[in-house]
Amino acid sequence: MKRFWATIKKEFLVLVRDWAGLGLIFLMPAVLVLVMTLIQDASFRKLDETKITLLYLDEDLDSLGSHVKTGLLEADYFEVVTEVDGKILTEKEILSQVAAGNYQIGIRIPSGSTDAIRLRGQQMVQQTILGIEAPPSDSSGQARILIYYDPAMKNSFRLTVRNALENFTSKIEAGIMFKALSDEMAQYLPEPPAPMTGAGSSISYEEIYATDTHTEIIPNSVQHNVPAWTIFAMFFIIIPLTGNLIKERESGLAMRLMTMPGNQFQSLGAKVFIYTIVGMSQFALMLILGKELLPLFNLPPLILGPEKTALILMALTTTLAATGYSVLVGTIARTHDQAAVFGMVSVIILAAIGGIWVPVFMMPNLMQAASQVSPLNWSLDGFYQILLRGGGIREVAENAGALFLFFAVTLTLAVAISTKSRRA
Amino acid sequence: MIPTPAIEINHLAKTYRGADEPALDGISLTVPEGEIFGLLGPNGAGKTTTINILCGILQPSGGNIRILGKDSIREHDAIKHIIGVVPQDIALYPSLTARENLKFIGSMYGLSGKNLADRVDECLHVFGLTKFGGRMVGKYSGGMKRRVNLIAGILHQPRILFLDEPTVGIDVQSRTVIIEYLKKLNEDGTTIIYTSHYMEEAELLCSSIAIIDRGKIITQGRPASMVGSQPGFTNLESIFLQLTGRKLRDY
Repeated sequence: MKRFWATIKKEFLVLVRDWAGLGLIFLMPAVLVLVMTLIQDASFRKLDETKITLLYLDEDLDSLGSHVKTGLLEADYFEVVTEVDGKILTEKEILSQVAAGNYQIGIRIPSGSTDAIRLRGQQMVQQTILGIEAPPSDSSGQARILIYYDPAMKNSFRLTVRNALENFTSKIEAGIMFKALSDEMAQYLPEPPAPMTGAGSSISYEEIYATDTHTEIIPNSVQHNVPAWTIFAMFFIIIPLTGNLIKERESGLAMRLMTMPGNQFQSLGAKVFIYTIVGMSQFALMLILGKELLPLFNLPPLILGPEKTALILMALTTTLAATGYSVLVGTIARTHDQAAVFGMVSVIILAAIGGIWVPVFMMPNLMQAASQVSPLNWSLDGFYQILLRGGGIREVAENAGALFLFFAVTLTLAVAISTKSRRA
Repeated sequence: MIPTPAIEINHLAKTYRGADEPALDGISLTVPEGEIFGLLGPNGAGKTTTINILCGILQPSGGNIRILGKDSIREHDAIKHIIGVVPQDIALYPSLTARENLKFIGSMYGLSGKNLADRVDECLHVFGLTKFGGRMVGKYSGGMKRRVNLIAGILHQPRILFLDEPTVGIDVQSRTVIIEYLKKLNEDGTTIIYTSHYMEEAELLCSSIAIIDRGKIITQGRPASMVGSQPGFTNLESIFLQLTGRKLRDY
């Protein structure tokens, strides 16, 4: 046991004097979590929590044009720009500004759009009461709203804006239509009817996050990103740990260790011990960052929920899996470069297929199947069980078990490969 | 009663995976206790392979070894306590001080507390490193590193010490200190197995030598009796060149 503690002390000293490695282990994850959470925060917020700046050109100069503008201004999530550099917008200016990427969206209401809606209302009444067929309409007779998009805009964002606009303008259209119908019908009735107004929606929507447990947790960018990027960072111990193993081999230290009392499990065990503490420290640091630092950047604080033991279990098995994988890569790789490149790229691939960047449910079927082989996915799923679904130890037992098994298999393989190389 | 030899090698063979030629082709050697035994040979002759097998770093393809009567494979754990190894590389942690390196290595051999601290201080003193014990090894000169590398092999006072090119690439002063210390260590009873490219050094230090080439022992004996035994055998270097040839050995 004394040898084990001596090896742990040695590993600790080697680690704490490796400033670059420490930066990679602690500073890089902190920056990563902060930056990624801030970047991805907008996509997790509701539309009305963000501001979309758009160019607006009203050529209609009637009800539709003015109502759309008023609606856009009243809605909290649009910032309406009607002039650029003191000049009133034109169709050409909108096009060039959006094409240049200065603005992501431009909206133009062509002249006669309100008239087109009114005409449609009149035709509907005439068709209903007098049986007069409406003349076949072409697109030139339709009310139109032209939306210009920056080609660099993400499709999902474009659809979000379009849906919001459609939802919003349909109410305005209904209002104009009701007014037109009301006016038209008044001509055919002996007594003028009470003015028709657009009725409020008869359907209301209520959003409920489905969990089996009562939880205070609200899914947001922090709840998603902190565990995701923490897992990613925990696997990045592959760089210092493989570096440590290869340095020992290249310097002849590994050989010296083989000639000294003690065994390989003791030597590797000390590395696993130290790097497990490192992983748990990384995790603790990320939790503190999520709870204390992120709110300073106008982000919601990380809510851990009541299942702290389950969180510790997941953190422990994740760090063990990362350590086992690093030891295996460090054993197989012949040089620093091999270990660094393979280690980094493999972790990035495992993170990508594991759902760290893009949720697994959004991936094509093939990649969804592939995600099942990534230990980062097992870990992420476990953390989501706790941090988003309010799960506990029972819910994450399978994930934690898989991660521990991965650790045991990778470590055993590393020892087997190392032993085999002595017989080579 | 015949004393147990320090090392007994019988038909030792080693062929690396994928290699056409064996690195060791059935060598047999006996080294009595108390010797300074030089294993000499050109590059790729099989010296380091022999030392690595003797130290338990590599496993042989055939043959057997007994170290102080113990089987090198079956009793490897027991052998670890009675041998010391000074590898050709500076096998030390550069970010640790000399004292931290030596304390770690001493702990692995079961030394602890005051005994360990005293032994580390004693060795650092002998090799003129007391003043620099708290400096990181990575900041040492080549000669200082070699001296700490040697201390790491003798800290636990092994009965047999293996040295693989212990003086390569160092200044004359450091080499002299190392050679003098090895002589003293041998006088105190430690058996030394030593490989080197420095023939003059081997001639000066070794009580017996073996010249190995292409995995085979081509001659062995006491340097003094070998020199002058045949025409042209004027010193160890001339014997070496006559037996192994002048052709460059790149492998």
